[in-house]
Order: sequence, then C-alpha cells, then structure tokens
Amino acid sequence: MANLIDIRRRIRSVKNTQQITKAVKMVAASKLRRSQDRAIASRPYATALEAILRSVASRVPPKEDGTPLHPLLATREEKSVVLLVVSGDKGLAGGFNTNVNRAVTTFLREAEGRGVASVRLVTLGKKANDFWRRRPVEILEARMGLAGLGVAPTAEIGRSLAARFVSGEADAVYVVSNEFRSAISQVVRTKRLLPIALESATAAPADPDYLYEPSPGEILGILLPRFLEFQMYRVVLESQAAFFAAQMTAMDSASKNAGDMIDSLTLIYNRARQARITKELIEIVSGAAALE
Amino acid sequence: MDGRLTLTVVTPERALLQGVACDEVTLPAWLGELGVLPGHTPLIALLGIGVVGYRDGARRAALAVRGGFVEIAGDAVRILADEAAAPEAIDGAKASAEKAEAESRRGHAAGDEELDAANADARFAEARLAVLRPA
Repeated sequence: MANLIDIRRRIRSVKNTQQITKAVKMVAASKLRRSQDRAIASRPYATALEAILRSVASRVPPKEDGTPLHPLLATREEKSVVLLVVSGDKGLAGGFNTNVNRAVTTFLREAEGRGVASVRLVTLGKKANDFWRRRPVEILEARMGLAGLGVAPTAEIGRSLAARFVSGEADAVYVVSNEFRSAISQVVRTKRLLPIALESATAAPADPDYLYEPSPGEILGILLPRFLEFQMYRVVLESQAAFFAAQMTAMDSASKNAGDMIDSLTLIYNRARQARITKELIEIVSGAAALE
Repeated sequence: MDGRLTLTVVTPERALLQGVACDEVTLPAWLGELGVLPGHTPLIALLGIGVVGYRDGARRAALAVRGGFVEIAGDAVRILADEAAAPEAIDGAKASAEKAEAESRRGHAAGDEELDAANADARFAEARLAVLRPA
C-alpha cells in the first residue's frame, strides 16, 4: 500500500500542473479570439486585391520574346530552393510545431528526389529555428517573436524573399505553415510562394474596359510585390491563429487528463486511508481482546 | 444623377469603410487629385498619399491614406490603401511630432531612398493633420 503522504504530494503536484494548463488554455482562447478577428479583418482586402490583380494581369500584353511579364513570375528550373518555415515561438501546443518540422523533413526528402541541388531555410518562430539549427541544413535567416507581428515586418520578410528570388539566389520559394481551419483543426500546408502563379489570369471574365493610371504594366509591377507581402501577412496571421487554436485544444485535454488523474489518485488515497483506519481498529480491538 | 457612389476603404489590417453611400469622392491618385462623381469611367489607378474626402448630401468626411490602389467600377469606388487613418483614430499631437521628425530626417537624408521615405512619412503625417482640421 502506497504511503499516504506520498499520494497526497502527488495529488498536489498534479493540481498545480492542472492550474498551469488551465491558465494557458484561457490565455490561448482569448488570443485565438483576437488573431481570428485579425484574420477576418484582412479578408475584404484580400478579395479586392486578388480581383484587381486578375484584372490588371489580364490586360498586360504578353511580351514578344516570351519573357515573363515581371521578374516575380519567372519560372526557372528549381536548382536552389528557399523554404520558409513558419512555426510558433512557444510550445505547449500539441503537435503544432512537430507537424511543421515533419512537413519540412518530407519536403527536403522530396526535393532531393526531384533533383533540387540545395534547399535552404528561412525560419519564422523560435521552435523551427531551435529544431533545424542542430541539423545539417543551412538556415539563411531566423526570425522570432511572431506574436504581434503586423503588416510592416511581414512585408519586410516578403521583400527579402523576393530579393533572393529576383537575384537568382533562389529559383523558387516555398512555405510550410499551419493553416487555420477551425478552433479544433489545423492543417500543415506546403505552398509555392514564388514564382507567383497567375493561373486564372488569362481566363478572367470580361471586365469593364478599365482606364489605367499609369499603364497596366507599371501597376502590375507594383501589385505583384504587394501581393506577395500581403500573402506573407496572411500566412503569419493564419499560423498565429492556428497556434493558439492548437494550444487551446492541447491544454484543454491536458487539463482533462490532469482532472482524471486527480480523481483516480484521490480514490487510491481514500482507499489507503480507509485501510489504515481499519488496520488500527483491528489492532485496538485485538489488543483489548488479549487483555480479557 | 443616375445613382450614388458606394465607397469602400480597406487596408490589410481592417476595413475602414464598407460600401458607404456618398455623392462625391475625391482621392489622391498617382498623377494628382482625382474627383469621382457617379457615372465615372471604370479605372484602376495607383493611390498616392493624401486625403480621401467624401460627401454625402451636405455631410463631408475624410480619411488619410498612404499608397495602394483604387478601383472604380460602375458606381463602386474601392480603395485598397497600404495604411489609412480615420479622423477618430488620429492623434493630432503624435501626427505633428511625426511630421516634424520626418522633416528633420529629410534635411539630412543620405540617398534617394531615405529621402523618399522621409517625404512619404511627412506627407502622410500632413494628410492626417489635414483630416483633423475642420474643412
């Protein structure tokens, strides 16, 4: 029979853990709310930007020599690839960071299979950097402290990726990040950021005949980088929302598990106490009986 | 008058106006101030830095915007600004301070890029102050 004091100590320790998991869960829930609001607030801009981009791109005449309309659209053979890894800064979020890192591993293996000579990483968030730093992969840039990241810093990341792409340092840029589906579901996705794919551009429906000021080509030249920057912002927002959602679910089940453990420990504790009382009674009774 | 304009102003962070009905919109287009009345030609233009003013009957209101795009299609005016500030969100003292700071930077800017950035900051601060001043 386990020692009563030991059991009591364990109950107390599990209770402390439960307090922490509960607190983290509450914080995550309120932060999730906020980042979800931010994601929703950016939606009107996203729709409008995509509409303009499509309309402008369909108006730019293709160049005669077959070169792409803009450097950010240039498709090259993928020899050197940059992979942007978006993780969280903190743990206690279930499989959130592990899933990202696993997807990166898959990507690396696949890229090798496709004959990509080098894959280098740009990491966002502390966890991805901590993980890949100790592995034989080159990390070009590491950024941390994603939490309150606004438009300007994410745009900065977009610009630096675009610069690498345009200079030919990278033939393609991919991103691995968590996508926010709902409060209980996050999906890790690998997407190509650069070159920008304008699939639907040619199939755009007949727009009204717009006037352009300045020319469509010039507008496109400004639109594309802006589009990339905005995509970066969305990716970070989504990842943030997904992180808090993952953290909330993970901490919720951790609190539940702690509760179950407390219950079963309490049961063991009570049984042990009962057993001790019974034993003491027997001792007294048998002692009295011996005296008679 | 065949209709009224609906004005939408969005930034990556939020939507400031969504489909507000008005009779007239003035906005800082790339090549200069642009006045829009109902029945305007469809247009896609770059947006400069300045004040977007709109009039609904006799009521006038304004916002400060900084860069982006504007699309006019039918009677819908959609402004996609990089940054925008509604009058109630503008801190006059802060805008003045930023203006002074940007102007001092303009004084000793090294290179065109810094000069452009300082100019843009100064103009955006000016636009915000202009929005605060009653017309």
